[in-house]
This record gives sequence, structure tokens and C-alpha cells, in this order.
Amino acid sequence: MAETESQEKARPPILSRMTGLLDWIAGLMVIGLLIWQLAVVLLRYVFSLGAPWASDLLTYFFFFVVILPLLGVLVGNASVRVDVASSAFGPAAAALVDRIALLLFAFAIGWAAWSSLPSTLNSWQLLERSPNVGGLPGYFVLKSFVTGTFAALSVTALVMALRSRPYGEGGRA
Amino acid sequence: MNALLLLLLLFLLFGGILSGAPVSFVLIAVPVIVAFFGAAIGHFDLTFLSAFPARAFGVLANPIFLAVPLFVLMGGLLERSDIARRMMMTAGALFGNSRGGIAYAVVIVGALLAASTGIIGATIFMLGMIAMPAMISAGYSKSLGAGVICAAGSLGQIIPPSVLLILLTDQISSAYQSGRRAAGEWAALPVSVGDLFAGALLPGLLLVVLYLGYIFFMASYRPQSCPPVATRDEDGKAVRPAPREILQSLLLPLMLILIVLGSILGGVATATESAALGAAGALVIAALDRPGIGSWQKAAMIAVLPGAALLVLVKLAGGAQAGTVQTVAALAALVVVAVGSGIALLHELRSGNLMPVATETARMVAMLTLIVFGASMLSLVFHGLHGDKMVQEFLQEVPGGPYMAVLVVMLIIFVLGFIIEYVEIIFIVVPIAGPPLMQAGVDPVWFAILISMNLQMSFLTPPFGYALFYFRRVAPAEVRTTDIYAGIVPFILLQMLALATVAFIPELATWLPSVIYK
Repeated sequence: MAETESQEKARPPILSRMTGLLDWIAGLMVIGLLIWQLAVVLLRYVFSLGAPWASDLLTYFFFFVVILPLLGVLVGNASVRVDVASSAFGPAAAALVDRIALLLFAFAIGWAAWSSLPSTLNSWQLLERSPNVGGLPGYFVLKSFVTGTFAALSVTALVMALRSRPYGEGGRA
Repeated sequence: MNALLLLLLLFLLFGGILSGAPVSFVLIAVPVIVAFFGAAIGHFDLTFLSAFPARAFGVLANPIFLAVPLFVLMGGLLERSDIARRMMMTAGALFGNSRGGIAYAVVIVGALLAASTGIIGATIFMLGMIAMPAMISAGYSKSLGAGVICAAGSLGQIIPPSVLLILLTDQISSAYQSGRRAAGEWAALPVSVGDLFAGALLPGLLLVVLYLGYIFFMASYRPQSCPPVATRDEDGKAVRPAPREILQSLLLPLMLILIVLGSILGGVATATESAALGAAGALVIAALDRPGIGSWQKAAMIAVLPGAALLVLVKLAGGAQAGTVQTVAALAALVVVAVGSGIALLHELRSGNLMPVATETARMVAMLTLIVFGASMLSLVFHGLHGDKMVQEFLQEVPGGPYMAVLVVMLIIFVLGFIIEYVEIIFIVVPIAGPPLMQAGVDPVWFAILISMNLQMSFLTPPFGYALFYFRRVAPAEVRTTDIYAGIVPFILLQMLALATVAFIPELATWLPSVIYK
């Protein structure tokens, strides 16, 4: 419990409030996905109704379910770790490992954001729609979210790497 | 030079993962670093990396993965409801009075939870906290109790619906298509989630039967290891389940399982559609437990499960348009399902139970996706360094043909299973080793089922089996770690037996999908 508290304190409150909000919206998207998929199943079973835009909407829901919490996974230390060999590390060594990992991650995902930029800009120029015939518009918004999320992950990881204890005094969860 | 860079890649990868850094960061960062280093010394073409954004976007817009959040939501809702505990209490009370009875109950409940929640950690926690103390106080062999709980609790990996199988479908399907293309066959059909679910069913049941058989053997030849147990609740009172209790704690989940698996295996629903039906059912089961629900609301919610089952039956009988009976039944079922799940949804939203599960689901899926991103980055760099060609040549040169090559891949997966989780293994090993094997004519469903059985075995194998870690955390202190290790050995042997059986009789995995999805 003490660990979580010190982690809460160590985290900039604005950031954790923002990721909390993103997670909450993603949760709404999960419920939206459930309701919409249920409606699609029922209508298809009973009235044999279905439309390409209806299944596109499911994909859009899923897209936001996945992309919105990514920042929270980074900030909230929610990633999977393998502690078979590293459980003997002290907090200082563990924090050093985290800082190096965050720095390299910031570089890699920042590069990914940069290299996704041309296709996103291109998508805006075309105001790209879903590739399915009769599908939803707004594909360019999704692509912008990918570029934007990668960039946000990169900047956040960089800022966290600059702190001496990226995940707080308690070290790892 | 490429070989050296590949070695550097592998070294940094394992070093990074073992350093305790977040696995997804390592998987994303290390390939990029190695790629830039390779480019700097003129041995890597960075254009290979530029396919990453498109790959990442492909993951986010992949309809196969839609089923994952819905199944995770279904599992999370059931996990938070009291249903798992009550299932164990009821099953224990029903079977416990005979020799070996509670061990049978553990296997059966483990299988039922595998087919509904699929959450291994939660299943082992629950079984360890409820069944283990009862077994110990009745004088059960501690190792038998520990072994049966770890083994039964891990069935979620293989018994559908399992997230592992969904993720595996995606990778097996693309490995299969590129492998067949390389063999000159251009019209290879994609592998569906339904194929793998159907393929996993008989091997999963085989495991259950083997576990039950082992308990029967122990009860017959070592009766002192598994005496009868009187199941008691927290106050120490013997549990005697009333018929209503049996109905609610065993029949409702059973119906849910029949709806989910029946609609997929009956070929009338995609995995995503049945996941939505299952999540709605789970919502109802969770809502029924809450206090202060009016009786008509309760009735409307209970009606959802038979309603959904009716809907699946109508679909199996040719759909709503097939005749008047079907039309009336379908409309009635539609109303029942919509009203009942609507009530459950509103109730769970208002009582504040649904949002935390939904948010947790989203976080969990996002976490998985970050690992998948890393794995696709890794496979791009691996490809850019011509690592796939090397693996391909290696697998083709394995003496004994493609089946020896499968054995080699299985051994590699088994060892990797100690260190990293199944998601990484699926997204790293299958795209690299899959295509050459499929090119050589290995059946994709058979190969996928062997992988998932293998991964389940590495879940159980000391010292790094995750199931053992989970169990250790809740096992009473008097259960020593050596008891757990000793107890798990017979189950690992059974698991190997099952794996070998499926390896030598591929029809166990391939027959059901071929019948259902002709």
C-alpha cells in the first residue's frame, strides 16, 4: 500500500489524472463495443440485417479501446516484467534499468511516430475513409491518433527517464 | 555480418527482458536500436522498419482481435461475481462425499471456469483458497491437492474460448498463407478463430479425462491420499446445496458456456459475436448477485440466457426467415435478450460495478497490444537481417523432415515458455518458424494446438511455471514448495502424454474443425 502511495505522489498529478480520464473513455468504448456488437448479432440473426458501416463502427470502437489506455500503461507501470533474474536488484539498480529502458523506448517509439507521419498527412489530404465499400469515413482521424499516441508515448517516456526514480521511490509494483 | 547483428539482437533482447525492464519496451526498443546500429555500419536497410506504422495500424484495425476485449470483459465480470466460489462450493458438496470426490470437483470446476472466465490466475487463487484448505483438513495428500489445483487451474489456456487461441489464430493464419504461397498454392483459405476453438476442444477434453483418470487411479490404489471431504463454508457449517443453489451456481454458467461454444462450434456465430453474447450473459450472472433487485427484473435477467440459447437454436435451424415458428421464436428471443441484458447493463452501470471492469479490460488489451507492437517491430528487423531465411534453412535441414522440425520448434517454445509469456512467444516464434513448416505441408490447426498445449505445459513446469507462482501465493503455509513440485510431476507427465497423443493422432485436433467448417 505504501508503495502505491509513494508512486501516486511521485507521478505528476496532471498526467495521472489525464491517463485516468483516457482509461475511463476506453472503458466506455468497451461497453460501446459490447452494446453495438450485441445489436449487430441480434439484428443479423433475426432480421438478416447488416451493413459495412456497422462492422466498421465495431473496428472504430476497438481502435479506441486499445489506443487510449497506452499512455496509462506507460505512466502507471502496468507493463509485464520478468523478474526471474532481476528480483535481487536494489531499488537504485532497478530504477537505472527502468531509466535506460524508458530512454530507448522513447527513441524507438518516437521514431515510429516520425515514420508514421507521411502516411497520416497523406490520409488527411485524401480525407481517407474505411477501405470497406460503404464503410465509415474518418479513417484519417484514426491514423492521426496513431501518430499522436506514439509521439505522446515518446515524450512521456523521455520525461520519465529524466527522473531519478521513474516509477517512484517504491520502485516496481 | 548479418549473423553477428542477429546474435546482438538476441543477446540484447534476452538481456533486456531478464533485466526486469518492461517486456514491451524491450521488444520495441531493442530491434530499432540494432537496426540503426546496423544501418550506421552499412548492413541494414532502414526501409524495412518503415513498414512498422502500417503494421501497428493493422493490429488496431484487425477484426480478429475484436473478440479479445469482449472475452476479457466476460471473464472479468464473472471473476468479480461470486460465481466461481459458489461453483466450487456446490461442486465440492455434490461430489466431495466420495473418495477423490473433491479432486474430481476441482477438475470439473477448473474446466468450467476455463470455458467461461479463462483467467488462470484467478481460477488458481480461488481453487487454492477454497478447495486446498478443505483437502488438507480432510487429510488429503498435499502434493495431490496442489498438483490437481495447478493443473485444473491452467486449463484456461487450451479450453476455448481462450485469448491465447485468438491471438494464435491471427499469426497461424498469416504464417499458413505465406507458407502455402511459397509452396506455390495461391488459394489457401485463412484459418479462423472457430477453427482453433474447434481444434482445441477435443485435446482440452482429453486433458480433463486424463486428469480425472489419474484421480480415479489414486482413489482406487492410494485411497488414503484422497479421503472424502465435507465441504464447509467460512463459518464451518457443512454446505448442503439446495436445488436452487445448484441451478444458479452450476446451470447458469453451464448455459453460458453452451451459448458461447455452441454458437461458435455450431458455425452460426463468429468468435466476436459469441463473445458479445457471452459478455451479456456474464453481465446478467453478475447482476443477479446484487442485492435489492426486484423479482420481475430478476426474472427478465434470468430469461436472457435461455433467450440467447433460443436465438442460437433458431440460427442453427436455418434462421428467422426459415418459417413462421422460427420467426416468432427469433422475435421473442430478441425481445427477451434485449430487455434482460439492458436491465443488467443499466443495473451494473448504476451500481458502479461495470465501469471498473470495462476500464481494466481496456488497459489489459492495451498492454497486450503494446507487446504485439514490439513483436511486430522485432519480426521486421529479424526479416531485414534475413533471420527468417536462416531459420528456414535450419528447419529444412533438420534431419527427419518437417515433423522433426516441428519437434525442434516445440522444444524451443517449451524452453522460451519459462522465460517469456505466451503473447511474445506466439508473435515472435510463429511468424518466424511457421511459414517454412506450413510450406512443408504441416497442418496449421494441428500445429497451433500443439503450440497451445505446449505453452500450457510450460505454465506448469517448475521452477518458472506461472501456475505454481499463483498457487504458492494462496496455498496454506504448511504446503511446502516441494509438495507443489512433487504434486505437479504426474500432471506434467499426463500433459506430455496428451501432447504426444495429439502429435501422433493429428485428427484429434483437425477432425472437429473439418467437420464443422467444411
